[in-house]
Amino acid sequence: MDRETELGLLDRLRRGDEAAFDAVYDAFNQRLFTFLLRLVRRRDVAEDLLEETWLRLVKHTHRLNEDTRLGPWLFTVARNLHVSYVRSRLLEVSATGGVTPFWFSSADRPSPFETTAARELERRIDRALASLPAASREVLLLVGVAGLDHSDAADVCGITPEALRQRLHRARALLTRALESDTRPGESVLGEVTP
Amino acid sequence: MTDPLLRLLRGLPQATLDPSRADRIRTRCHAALAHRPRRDSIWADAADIWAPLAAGAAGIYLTAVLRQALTAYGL
Repeated sequence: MDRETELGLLDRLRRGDEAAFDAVYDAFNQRLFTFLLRLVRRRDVAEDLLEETWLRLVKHTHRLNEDTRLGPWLFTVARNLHVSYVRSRLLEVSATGGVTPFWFSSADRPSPFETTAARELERRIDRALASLPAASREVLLLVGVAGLDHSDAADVCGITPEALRQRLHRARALLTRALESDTRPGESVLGEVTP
Repeated sequence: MTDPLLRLLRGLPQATLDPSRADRIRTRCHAALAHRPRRDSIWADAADIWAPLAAGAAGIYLTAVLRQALTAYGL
């Protein structure tokens, strides 16, 4: 979504336009859900956090500034809700064990796309991500999966861009190590995507 | 994105939200939009009117003070 379109939608959203909400919802919902699901690793909880994120948006539309950037705003709310959830449950989600193919929709049989998605490589990445501390996983998901640039990801995490770069560097090293330790001798996960 | 690790993450499949849950979220948000508070916008409109008036009054007051000060010093 280009900035001009975003500002137009924001203006309409601040006036309570349902169609503008739908457009924003369609643009960000899947990325937000993917971010939350990979962060919390429980479909039911991710759905609840997602719903609360959208409700926060509509409850605060009249307080948004004219130049609010919707992506970082939504990911910040989602991230803060996750932090509150973890605190309230005193749960360190990064220490959880088994990996389930959580990207499958519970209502339907897996589509060909979803079946493809369940390949061994993705299972390994998922295991590696799950083994990381929450702060490292969060920054990798924001930059790598959600596609936020460093500046926006830093805003979402409430840290400076420099601190974000350092945290991302550490997270990359941890993920690489986790992937290598989960790789059978003779295989290289990174080699599968390196030209 | 040239970083192979980040490219790997970017290539992960997007999660699919259950359609019934997606509809429920959309419906709840539409309802919340319809019933969102108007009070802040009324106050914002009031602030739009009063802010310039207050600035004008402050300007007049400061001009009067300055004038009296200059008179007091015989300037």
